[in-house]
Amino acid sequence: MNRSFPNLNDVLREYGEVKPYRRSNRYHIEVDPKSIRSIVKKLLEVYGDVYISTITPVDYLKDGVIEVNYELEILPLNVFLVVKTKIPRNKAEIDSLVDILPGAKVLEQEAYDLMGVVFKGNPYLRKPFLLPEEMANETPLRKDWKPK
Amino acid sequence: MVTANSDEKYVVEIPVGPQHPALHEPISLRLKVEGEQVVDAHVVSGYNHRGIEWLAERKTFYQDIFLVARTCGICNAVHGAAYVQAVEDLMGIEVPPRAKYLRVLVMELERIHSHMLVLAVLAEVLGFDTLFMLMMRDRERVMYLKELVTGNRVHADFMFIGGVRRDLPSDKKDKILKHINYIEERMKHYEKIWAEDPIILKRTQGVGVASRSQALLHSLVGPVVRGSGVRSDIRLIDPYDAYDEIPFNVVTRDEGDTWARMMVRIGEIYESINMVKYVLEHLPSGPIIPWKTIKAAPRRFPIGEGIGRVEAPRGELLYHVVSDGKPKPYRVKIRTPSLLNIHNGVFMMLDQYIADIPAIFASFDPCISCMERVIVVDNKNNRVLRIPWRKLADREYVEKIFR
Repeated sequence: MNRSFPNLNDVLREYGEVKPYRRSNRYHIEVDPKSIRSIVKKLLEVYGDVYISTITPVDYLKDGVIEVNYELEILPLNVFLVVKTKIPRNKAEIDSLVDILPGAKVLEQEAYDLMGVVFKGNPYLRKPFLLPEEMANETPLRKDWKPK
Repeated sequence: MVTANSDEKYVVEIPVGPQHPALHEPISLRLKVEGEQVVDAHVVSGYNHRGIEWLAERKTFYQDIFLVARTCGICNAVHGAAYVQAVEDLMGIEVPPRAKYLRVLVMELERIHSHMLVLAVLAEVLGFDTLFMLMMRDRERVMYLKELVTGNRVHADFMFIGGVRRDLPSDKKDKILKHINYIEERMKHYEKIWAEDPIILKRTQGVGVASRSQALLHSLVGPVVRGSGVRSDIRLIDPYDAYDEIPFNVVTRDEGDTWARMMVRIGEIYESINMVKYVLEHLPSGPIIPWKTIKAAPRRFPIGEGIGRVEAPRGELLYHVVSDGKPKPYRVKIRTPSLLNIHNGVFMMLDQYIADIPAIFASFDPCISCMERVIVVDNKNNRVLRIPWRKLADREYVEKIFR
């Protein structure tokens, strides 16, 4: 670990507590969905070489929420950070990262297509993106979806 | 370029694809060109969506090992490895050392044949068919080695939760070394061609350049980002299996062009060959699964989540598995490296010539071929003309519509 970079815990203290996973160098943090843009901006500002690995939306039907996991790799620290946010199922909206981190473009498109999460401010969202034409109005990875 | 005056421009949209004779993915590119130069590029995907993530939620954890390997025919062993790593992360299983080394052996063999495939395909795209055939001939030896180790030539199905499914008998070591030495010898020859052939250099150097910051911001992965000078390799930054014990170098180049990406791949083939030799030399003895038999593997899965990350031949491959304590996973998220590289790498095509697009596209691993027809978009009059490809050969007809 490079000593010249500040500690991840200190950088993200105002948003929540950074907790470790079982494997070393992997952490997760649960945050408010409104702060996702400011977290990514801050990480880019402090560490620079940050890329987004993926966006994993998980549908929790019983709780009525969709958990959106932003999985980021912070290269100067060799740290893999999962930023977890929870948004309501019936109003699945979250701010887009596409203008600050262009790599998120295709991941947001995929999450919108398969899970129906709307990323506000992403002009590239379209349906169908990966699905066939006839499934343009469906979100198959939601737990209440059934094949016809 | 057909323009009546400077402010009246004809932008021609050329659909490239979706039929792919060269590489495995049916994908379509919509290029907007002015003359020979690309002004806008747009990827249309989804011709072959198979719903593997949905299906994985409806199979058991053990069945999914074989399902996820079917995501990709070329890098199937790494898909299996990433998935079992995620499940082991979820359950807290420690893999025996011999299994770790055997996994590395198969994954590195896969990297060698995958890189040889794309080097051959790019040679074919550039019109160098002889190199394509020679490399594909030699690649077959690696496929044979994969069959020798795993029992299958293409779909290895080698990984299992907690270890591997097949042990390596000691008498196969010499055979593997013989073929791997042959590949190393041949690669020196191919490296010379890639480094010195004037046509290859002219077609690839300075073509499709991505700077270091652009590559990072667009979240490119694998040899594409390493060709832009970023030391990003999951084997190094998040070591899994035996990669923390096996010595290797991360190959990077600073040029960021198509040629640099291919040279990174050639360098990685040498690294993989050395790793295969190291594994054969230092293969630990012991069991290949943590239990007495494969049937004794645990049937209960805890509530929680596991993340598996491996460095596939094309870049970082990530599996995120969520469990709710049932025999089937609650969610399996697969993020393949090509998704990022294809869609986010499109910016490299802007301001390039049409003839260079196949080379750029093939250099981040998929490939494109046929241009079946064109659409002429007249920006000034808002009209769209669809012209069959054959009619474009008729010069008088073309001159008439552009007048």
